[in-house]
Amino acid sequence: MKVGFALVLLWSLPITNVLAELPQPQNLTLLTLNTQYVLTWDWDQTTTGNSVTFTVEYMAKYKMKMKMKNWSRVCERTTRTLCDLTGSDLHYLGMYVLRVRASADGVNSHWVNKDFCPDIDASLGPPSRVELAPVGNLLDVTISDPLTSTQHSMKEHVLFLYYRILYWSRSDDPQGLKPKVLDSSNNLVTLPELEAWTWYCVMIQSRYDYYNKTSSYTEPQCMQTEGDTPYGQIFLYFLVSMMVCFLLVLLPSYTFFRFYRVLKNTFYPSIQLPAHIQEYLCDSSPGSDMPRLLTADSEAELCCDKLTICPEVVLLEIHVPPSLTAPPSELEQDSGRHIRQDSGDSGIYSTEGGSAQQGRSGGEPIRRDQEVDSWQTLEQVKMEEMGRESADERDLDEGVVDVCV
Amino acid sequence: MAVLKWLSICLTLFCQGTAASKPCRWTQFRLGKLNDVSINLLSEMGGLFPLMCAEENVEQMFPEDLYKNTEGEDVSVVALEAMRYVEQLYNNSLTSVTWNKTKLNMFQNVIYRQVQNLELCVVGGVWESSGDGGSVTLKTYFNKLNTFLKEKEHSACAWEIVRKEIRENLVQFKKFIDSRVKP
Repeated sequence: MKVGFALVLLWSLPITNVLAELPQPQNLTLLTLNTQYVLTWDWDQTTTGNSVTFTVEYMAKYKMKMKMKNWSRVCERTTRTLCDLTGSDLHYLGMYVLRVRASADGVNSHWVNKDFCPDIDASLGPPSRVELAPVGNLLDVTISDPLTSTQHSMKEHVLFLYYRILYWSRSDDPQGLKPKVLDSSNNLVTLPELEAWTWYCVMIQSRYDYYNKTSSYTEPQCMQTEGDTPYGQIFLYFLVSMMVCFLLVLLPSYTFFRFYRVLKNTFYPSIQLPAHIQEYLCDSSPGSDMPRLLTADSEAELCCDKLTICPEVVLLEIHVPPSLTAPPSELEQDSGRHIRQDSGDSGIYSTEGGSAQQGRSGGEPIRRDQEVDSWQTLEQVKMEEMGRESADERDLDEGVVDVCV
Repeated sequence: MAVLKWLSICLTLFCQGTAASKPCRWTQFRLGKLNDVSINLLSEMGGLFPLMCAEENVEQMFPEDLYKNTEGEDVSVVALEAMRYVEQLYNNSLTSVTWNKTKLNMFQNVIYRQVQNLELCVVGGVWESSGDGGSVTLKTYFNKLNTFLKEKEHSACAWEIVRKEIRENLVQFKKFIDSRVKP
């Protein structure tokens, strides 16, 4: 009975052991880069199978001594064996304690602690960007600081961050086995004592001496230095600029001066026309008798009345007073003209008495029946009349028959 | 024989001299930087001194020349004492404070780190130092602050006064470090 009881106890002990205690996570390690921190651990899957979850917490180390400890939970019941602490606002200079435990089927393992101080433990990243620029026969290296998870410079946390620059000539040392070293905390460094027109390669690493932190090197970047401009190039530029100057400046100037006289005479001739001819050519007043094809205001000023000429009715006798015989309507039409005509005709008297008998004592030898070119027809008529009679009084202003007023 | 004796004496003195004059790494490179961070955190956690505490305000308790009187002592020892006292002070009840808790925690964290590293620096971690002028004044001063806090029952205004005092303390401490530790 007692033996049996003892045996049962012996059997049960291992079983309860297995049930009561879950193994702890092992080998807590931190994978870090600048301000990114990932806690990982090892877990033996074979012991408990699949449904294991892990919980991760952290706390500032100075609180460990206090009675009231408030741990901050970061990862709750995660199935993976890692936990990202980047977003937990762990201050770079602070000292923290991290802890992990496993849980399965309501049973928790013991906590496993690990001290963590980013200032001491977090590894440093290389510069985020490197740019090379040739400056004469030297090289300017522009280094961008490694960045935190919020894209700020790591120099905010690591005050004495500096860079180690390795550089070598690609032609002398293709593998980069014997590079020259330059340390600087500046972000812009000029590599000294380089040869002109040579390819150089550069690798940079960030360093933090107090805790002996060094980053990995950046990928080698190469750039060729420049140098003084060769004489041939200077001469070529000189020739080209000389030709351009010649084409743009000298040639037009020479042309201008050569043909200056020709141009001057074309546009500003020295020999002027005599004044009266110029006047004649340029005079555009309406009273001048310069013949022109088309006057400016010819249409407006020209005011022609209709003149009817009847060629068949020609009287030999010409009387002075027109008012007695002339048809009043016709007379009144052109009183001005009338006067002129009649005055012209006033000196002419018919010597033939017989013609007076005809009765047509109209002062109007000419009747206006037709619209004709009155000037010419009148002229013809008068000439006929003049020929028939005496030509004594010929101070007629025959040429002027002003039919156009 | 005499030459050897003299030589050994000279060497010993020389080594001791260099050991005494050169501070440990933490004091030389990190103490100042972390002190600056502490001062900034103290300023940032609460802003300006609140008007409502003006009537409870007392004269500054911190003696201006406290650190000047510690000429003969090792910088690390003085630093360790000061940092320890500050740490102890902030172990009092902080429930009534209205400060930014993150910054307050960070401040305490940094002070803790100072203490830890200075302890490694100072050989033996002696609590009671051999000197008298500096450490006694420090002790008296911090006792006064502790008493003051307890009297005011750790009220918010009392803590504001303490914060002002500690900030002034650390600023003087910074001047002390800058004068004693040449980078």
